[in-house]
Amino acid sequence: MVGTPSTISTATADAAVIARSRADGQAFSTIVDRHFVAIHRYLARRIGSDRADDLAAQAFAIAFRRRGDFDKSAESARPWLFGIATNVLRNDLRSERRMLAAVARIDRTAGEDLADEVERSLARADAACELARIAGAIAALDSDQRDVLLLHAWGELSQSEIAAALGVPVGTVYSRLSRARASLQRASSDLSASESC
Amino acid sequence: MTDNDELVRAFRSEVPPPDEAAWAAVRGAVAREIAAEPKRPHKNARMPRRRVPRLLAVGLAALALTGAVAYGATTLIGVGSPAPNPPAPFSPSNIDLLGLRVADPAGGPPWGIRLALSQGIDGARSGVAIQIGRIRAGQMGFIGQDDVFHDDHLFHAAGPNSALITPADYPITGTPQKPDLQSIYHFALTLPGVASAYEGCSTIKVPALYRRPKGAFEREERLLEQSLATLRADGLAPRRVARRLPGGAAALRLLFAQQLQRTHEQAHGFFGERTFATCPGADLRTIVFGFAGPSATSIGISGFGVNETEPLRSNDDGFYLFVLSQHWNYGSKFQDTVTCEDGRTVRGVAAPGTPDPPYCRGSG
Repeated sequence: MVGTPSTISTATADAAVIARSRADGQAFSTIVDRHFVAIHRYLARRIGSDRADDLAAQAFAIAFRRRGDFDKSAESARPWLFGIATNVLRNDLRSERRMLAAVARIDRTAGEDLADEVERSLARADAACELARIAGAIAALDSDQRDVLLLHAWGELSQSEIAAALGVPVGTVYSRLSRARASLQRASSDLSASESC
Repeated sequence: MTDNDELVRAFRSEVPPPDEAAWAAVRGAVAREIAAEPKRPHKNARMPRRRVPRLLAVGLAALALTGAVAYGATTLIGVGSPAPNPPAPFSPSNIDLLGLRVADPAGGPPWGIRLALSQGIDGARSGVAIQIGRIRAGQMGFIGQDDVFHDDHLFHAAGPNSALITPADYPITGTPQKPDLQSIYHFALTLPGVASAYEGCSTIKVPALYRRPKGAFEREERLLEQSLATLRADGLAPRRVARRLPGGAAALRLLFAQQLQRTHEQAHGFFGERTFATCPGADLRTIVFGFAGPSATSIGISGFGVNETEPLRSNDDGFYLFVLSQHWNYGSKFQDTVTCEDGRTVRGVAAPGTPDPPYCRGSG
């Protein structure tokens, strides 16, 4: 794969830094500084900021322990770290489903439950309906499809990077992404036809 | 690229960047891994193999196990400098470490209670204050974590005035040499705490449906008040007005969550809160403690998903202590059930200000 000069430079640096960290553990902090914001943001979007702190810390601790497994020929540590973060997240799937379900429920029921005029006016916002629809549809996906969809949309990984992150063939990534999109489309059509929100 | 892709991409895109607490958590986690590494051979490292006779190996393993049991977990933590001992109006003349020991949910030194006895401020009336902390080698102290003692993970011995808890006046009779337990007013309290058993971790509680605010915690309440005032002045609040609110989206989310929570609670009872903390969430604790009387043989607390029972031994002196693994509502009204040695059970509420928490009266 051919990258831009800056990509190659960063990628080389990631591999070199991880190699150096095997003798000098402190060197690993460079990897944390480079990638923590992206990993934390991905986890925060999936599971909420409060849990993201713990899970992101856990992901980097695991990455440090497993740095011997890092593929030295990989261009960047980013897909590897997203893969670890996704695995950490799988242990907390119940929290993610609960959060998505809560978002879907809040915005659907807000207009019915809250008497105050402030809540009524806010709940009528179109954005709230979209939020509820997307949250519900994402929550309904199976976990493999959800991982691929959100690594792509929120982690901004390419299909080949997702394949590397999850340790599955690229073809599997394409098919899961396609099925996830179809599910979202179905959910979108169903809700548009059945509800005003 | 589909419309749905764009919607998914935009969904929850407003999450705040990691704050200082998040950075501290990851740096701490990696630092702990680095510190632990010399004890753990690297997965791919080639270790020299030594042949140890099987009998000798079994003997060494047994010796190591015996040693570990004998020393216990409390020896696994190093000792740092003593905790600060600030001057206090309550000057203990005698400090009594009770025999009660309670495990921490994350392990390490157990928790215990000390009674600090004093003649009182005016010297005329004696009193007793409660001290709660971690116990190592018969000494009460605190652990260097949760933003205190430079997070050194060492044990810091408590001074006579460290962490005095004097939530009310608990007078005793007689001389303040040894507490006259029959005359200590019975009490039951629930306090928020952290694993360090010391102050230092800042927390804020918000309704369960609220997301972490972007700014500093302490600003949220003020911003909310300003936002509420603007909303009330405007009557109906269209979204364009909402955008101009002083607290912005964060304050609106808080308002929204509070209103929603209130409605849910009116319909379904307690709904829940979330605690945001500057220390890792796993370090949050709720401390439930009290005095059930010397003739109490066990104490149970229940409510909010908690259902725990603790046997009380004679060297507990009638005191009890629960260390729960997260922050429950400050002042949660746990239901207490005390069993007395004559078989009676006494039920009541354990909360600040409760006039008559459960207590075994007399000697049973």
